[in-house]
Amino acid sequence: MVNQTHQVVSTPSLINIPIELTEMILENLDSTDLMSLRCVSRSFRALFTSEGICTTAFRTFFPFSYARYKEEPGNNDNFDTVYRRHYRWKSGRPSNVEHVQHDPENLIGPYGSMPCCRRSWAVNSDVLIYTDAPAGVVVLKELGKNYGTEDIRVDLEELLGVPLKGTYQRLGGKAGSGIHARHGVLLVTKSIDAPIKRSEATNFLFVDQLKKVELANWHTSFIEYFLTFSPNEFAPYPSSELIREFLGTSASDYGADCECPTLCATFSLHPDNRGSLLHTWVDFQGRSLSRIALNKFYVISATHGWSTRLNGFIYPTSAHPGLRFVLCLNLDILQHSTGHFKIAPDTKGKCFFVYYSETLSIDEITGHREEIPVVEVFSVPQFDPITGGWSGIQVLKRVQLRSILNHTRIYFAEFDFEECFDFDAEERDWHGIPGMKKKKGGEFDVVRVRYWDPVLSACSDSVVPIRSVTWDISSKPWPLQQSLQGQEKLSGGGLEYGSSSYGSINNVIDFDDIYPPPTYYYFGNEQIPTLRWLSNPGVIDLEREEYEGNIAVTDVPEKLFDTGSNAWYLYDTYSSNQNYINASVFLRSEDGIIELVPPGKQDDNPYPKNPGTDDADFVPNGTFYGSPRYVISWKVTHGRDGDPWELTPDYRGRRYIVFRRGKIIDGLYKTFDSIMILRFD
Amino acid sequence: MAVQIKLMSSDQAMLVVDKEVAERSVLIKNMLDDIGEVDEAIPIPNVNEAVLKKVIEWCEHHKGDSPSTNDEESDSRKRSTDIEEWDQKFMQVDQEMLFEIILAANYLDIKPLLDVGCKTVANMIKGKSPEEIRKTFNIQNDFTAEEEEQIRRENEWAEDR
Repeated sequence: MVNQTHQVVSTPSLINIPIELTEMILENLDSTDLMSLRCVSRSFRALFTSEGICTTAFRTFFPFSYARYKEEPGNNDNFDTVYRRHYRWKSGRPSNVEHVQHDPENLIGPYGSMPCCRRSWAVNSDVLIYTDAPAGVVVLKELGKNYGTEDIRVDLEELLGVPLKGTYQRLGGKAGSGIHARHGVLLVTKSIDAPIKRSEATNFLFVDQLKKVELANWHTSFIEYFLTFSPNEFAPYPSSELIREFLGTSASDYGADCECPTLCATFSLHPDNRGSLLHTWVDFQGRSLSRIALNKFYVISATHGWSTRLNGFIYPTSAHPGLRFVLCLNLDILQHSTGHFKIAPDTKGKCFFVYYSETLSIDEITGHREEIPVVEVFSVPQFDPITGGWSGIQVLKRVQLRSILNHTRIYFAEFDFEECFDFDAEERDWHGIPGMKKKKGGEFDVVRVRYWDPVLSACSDSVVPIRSVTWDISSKPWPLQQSLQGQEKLSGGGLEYGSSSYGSINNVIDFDDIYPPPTYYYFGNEQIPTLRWLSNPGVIDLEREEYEGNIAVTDVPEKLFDTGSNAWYLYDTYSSNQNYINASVFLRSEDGIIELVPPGKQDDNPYPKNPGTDDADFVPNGTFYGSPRYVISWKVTHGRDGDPWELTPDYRGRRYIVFRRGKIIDGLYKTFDSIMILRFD
Repeated sequence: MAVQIKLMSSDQAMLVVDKEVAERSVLIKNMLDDIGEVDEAIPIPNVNEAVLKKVIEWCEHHKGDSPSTNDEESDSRKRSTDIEEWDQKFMQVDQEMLFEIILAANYLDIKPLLDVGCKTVANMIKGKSPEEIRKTFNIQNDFTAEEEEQIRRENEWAEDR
């Protein structure tokens, strides 16, 4: 209770009751009501613009923005600035729109073939990265709190010693070239058209020189890997002179002993040394890198033409030399699956994630096959300073992604990894936010796997048109300790479980880790005729909302925390008006709207009694998000139906949205004429 | 026969009430726990007879309610429009009485009544324009033309849609 000894002389009213009571009333209002109260009279204005009320309003209406304000040094937000952003955001009116012109002469063919690979820009660590191809320069544009400061221009020719001007056309637009940015590291790759002679590359190691090593532990799709050490004097190489020689060499000089390499370089995106060159190397495994898992510890990639092979490169540091390793995918897996896989990095350099689909069974008569999506977590070799050696690679876990959707549907759908999170770091950033429930992760990274149906017709046979499902996979290895058959019964959740190879060191089975619960998203037919693209950039300051008696806090991406509330996503549609992009805020629905109870579920036991042995049909219970509460549109200029823009996923309260524009010139669709930055300041 | 106690309002009116009812007030309950049985009237110096009668009426109606948990308290605060029908009728009083009940509930530490009072006031404001709020609370617009213009300029960014 507040102030027990208050004295009210005049007739009590809204503006002369104790301030604590006014604040209690305020908690039942929303931000727009507060703005209205300010316009009632002088005394109302004085009260409702006072520092105490504004602080309460900030904390109450925008709790996560308030938490950011408390945590971030130099954050000058207050209720009014956040309200203004919130209002602009919900009404689709950015405070500033900036167009970045680049690469104006480059025309791209019709939409339809790997648009993401043609991207010539990226956003990471509050930096927009794009290419100035004619100049052979990569431009780093600040998007964060120092927005407006001078761009950093990374002169590739000067730094790498490569004659790129003119010949180094759009980095991301040509097979073999690309820019990739994750976790504060920028990777620039450029295939070298001219083959090179292996003997020329004296500092390099080749796959066939590597030592073959058997994989340990779990059965996996990857059948073997190779590991080798590199010299201590690892970086930077090759020398500028050597690369110049590569580029100037004719293929006919070499014959069979040649390979077409890819030049690779990493740069820092960290504010302290943004744009500085970190490492350079040449990848001989193919003409271009794809499926790149990138962080500040390693790059792991597949290459076009060698998509069954993963090439890993652990950067050298002052504590250890660099290391290269190779993993080979079982061809049988590819033959019976979608034929592709995806990889994602962690944040600590300890492991990486691989997604692929696994064939469960094939009907020999109909040819029908059932696929189930799988994520495997691989350890990354670690250097032992005592022995001077490296640890091997292990499969830390192998998770089947289960949902109420049948496997065949999933087979036809698309999967992708979202950003990997270091929850320890996130916990520091979001410490002290009331009502926040941090998702599982602890010392382990968590990656989110997202499935979505790109085509409405694919959903027509389902009870409700679920368009998206996500699962969170932690890097927590299992088992932490192999249990032995015949051990005494283990207790878990009040039930008796047999000894399990999934048990932890304390014989505790983490079922949520073994069977990651799916999260379903229902879009509603009427709102979204066709979902084309989906992201969750988690932009800004949406106010808490009330829904079915539950407060829904919406100004952070739900991936970080289970707020018991909602999620929001950006999407593109084939709508009648192509001049808008849309965002939706989804609210978690009550059970019963969709049948979430999986077949065979026992009332008293939500999990199989013997994980790994009697769980073939088991589907963990999930969370369901209903159709959008908000649909927010921003007016943009679309070039044509299809591939009109590309949103940049970003997280943690960014206040901008970046996408590319496109238009048709002489019948050709030109996608890279400019980058558009919407800001909500 | 229920145990009864006496309450003395600020205007010296004596009200007899069941102890169980009076103990909806955390203030009174703690007092009775401290001093044990008492024949004397317990002074309630901040609440007059009319308001105290209304508070007692509310406590009598809700005397069987289970004490709310912290979670429920937190949830109840968040559901601004969710007021029980009886409470809605109970709160259909003039505004002076409404705020007096809120002050009394705060003083007597009756959290559920305080929540109902705050929600009632909030519902009188929610979604209304400044002019509608003026009408609801009978407030004169005392802004000068210059002040009106200043407010308009401050909110200009929100107008040109």
